[in-house]
Amino acid sequence: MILKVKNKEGKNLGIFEVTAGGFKFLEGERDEIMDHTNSDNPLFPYALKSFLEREGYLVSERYPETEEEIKKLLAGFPDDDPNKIDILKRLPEMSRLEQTTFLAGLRKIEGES
Amino acid sequence: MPKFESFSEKPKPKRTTEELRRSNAELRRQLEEIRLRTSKQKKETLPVSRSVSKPKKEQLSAKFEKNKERKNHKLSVLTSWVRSVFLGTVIGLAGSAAIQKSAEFFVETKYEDQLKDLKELQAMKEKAQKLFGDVFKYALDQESEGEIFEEIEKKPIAESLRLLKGGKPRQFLNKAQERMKDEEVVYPIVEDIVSSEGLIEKILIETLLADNMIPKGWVNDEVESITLKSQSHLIAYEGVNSRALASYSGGGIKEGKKEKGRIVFYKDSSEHVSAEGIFNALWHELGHANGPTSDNESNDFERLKLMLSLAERIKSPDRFYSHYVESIQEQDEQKRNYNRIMEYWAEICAQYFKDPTELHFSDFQLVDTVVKKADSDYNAFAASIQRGKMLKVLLASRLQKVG
Repeated sequence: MILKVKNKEGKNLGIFEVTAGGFKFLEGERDEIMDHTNSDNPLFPYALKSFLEREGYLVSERYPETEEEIKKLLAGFPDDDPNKIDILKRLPEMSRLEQTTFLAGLRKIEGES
Repeated sequence: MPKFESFSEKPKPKRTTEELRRSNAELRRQLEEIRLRTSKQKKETLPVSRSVSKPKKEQLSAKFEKNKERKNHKLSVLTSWVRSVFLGTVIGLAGSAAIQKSAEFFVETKYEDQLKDLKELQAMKEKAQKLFGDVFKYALDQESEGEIFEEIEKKPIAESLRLLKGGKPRQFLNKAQERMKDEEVVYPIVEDIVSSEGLIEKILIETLLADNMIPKGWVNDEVESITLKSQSHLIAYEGVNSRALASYSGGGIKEGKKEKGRIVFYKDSSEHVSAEGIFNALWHELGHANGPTSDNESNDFERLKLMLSLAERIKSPDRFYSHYVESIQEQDEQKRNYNRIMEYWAEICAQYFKDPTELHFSDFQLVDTVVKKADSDYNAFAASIQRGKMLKVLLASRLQKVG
């Protein structure tokens, strides 16, 4: 599970991948979050996410596989298409809902063509 | 003597070599004429047959361009729709018109329209029975269903379908929607709730249940009370070994009568949870009050469809990750499926009210469809921003007052 964590004031604390048994920092500093206990329980990533939320951190999940699929589906459109340019530009900052809405829409377009 | 006289024809005279040569030449000429004529006819028909079986390059490329244009246009429609919805989120506009536009793109047919015949309904029931066991029947209003099926058994299939599609459930639903439009929020009985940050006064809870903050139909007819109990309550699911923060009981349609449910917070747990955590639990319990076995604005078929959709979502790799749901590990598969879908629903509802932008599109659609039945003007994005701001201000003023 890849989590993006901000503190209560909205300061970005980083993006990290959490699995049962380990952290892998992808972006940002590790100080604050690494204080929390680690565990090899398979439910640890979910438990950590719930814990951080309860503690008041702003936690959002990142989904690189969704971004990759959107890019793959957009490959069939011309590179100078302004909509394609816009989507690709904003993709990393899009919310989960916006990304998955685009994905559902692109899958639909692909299925119809 | 040859007897030729009896014939009207006289015997043909023998042809000379010259005559034979001329006759053969004439024959060749005629044959050549026929060959030419046939080949001309063939040539005339060829282009027609070629265009059907093998299109020319130009024709192919025009078709390809047209398809490409159509595909690009669809991307443009999709982009402008998503942009209008999410721009509405950022600047806090009520983008309900933009959300309505989604109907143009994702044509969500009404459940009733999907029921091509009775067999489909039966298939859904069989599927639900396999997945959840007999408990799936909690989603059905036994009395109204009984009436409909009694009628169906007496009638031919076409008429039965009319009963299913336009019968009691739909009339009931339309009435509920019409009524909700003009109705004021009917506040449940509310008590102060203890949190780790102090007492959350009932006025604060009532303010957050007000019109536009939570869809009217999710409170009216659904919630009788929100109270605080001093004794603790253990969560009964296998795998979840903890005390409950809150619970929901009652509600739904029992023997044809609508019942309101009760939300209870448990002081032993709530006093260790932040005010924000208390409100998240409240959104979760509101989800239960409007869920697949309890929502008073949905009919039997819609509730059953929701159950089956949730059963797909809990197994999907892109599902909403909830520690609570994933922890439910009942040995009995049907029981596990049922408990997981019920809690998954409540979890995605809590996220919908907390911050809908963090939901997967499929989960957002499930909740938003049920919300729109009760309150067609409700805008999840604007309401979530408004509620968040108000919660901050109210909690800050309350904390100041306490401090």
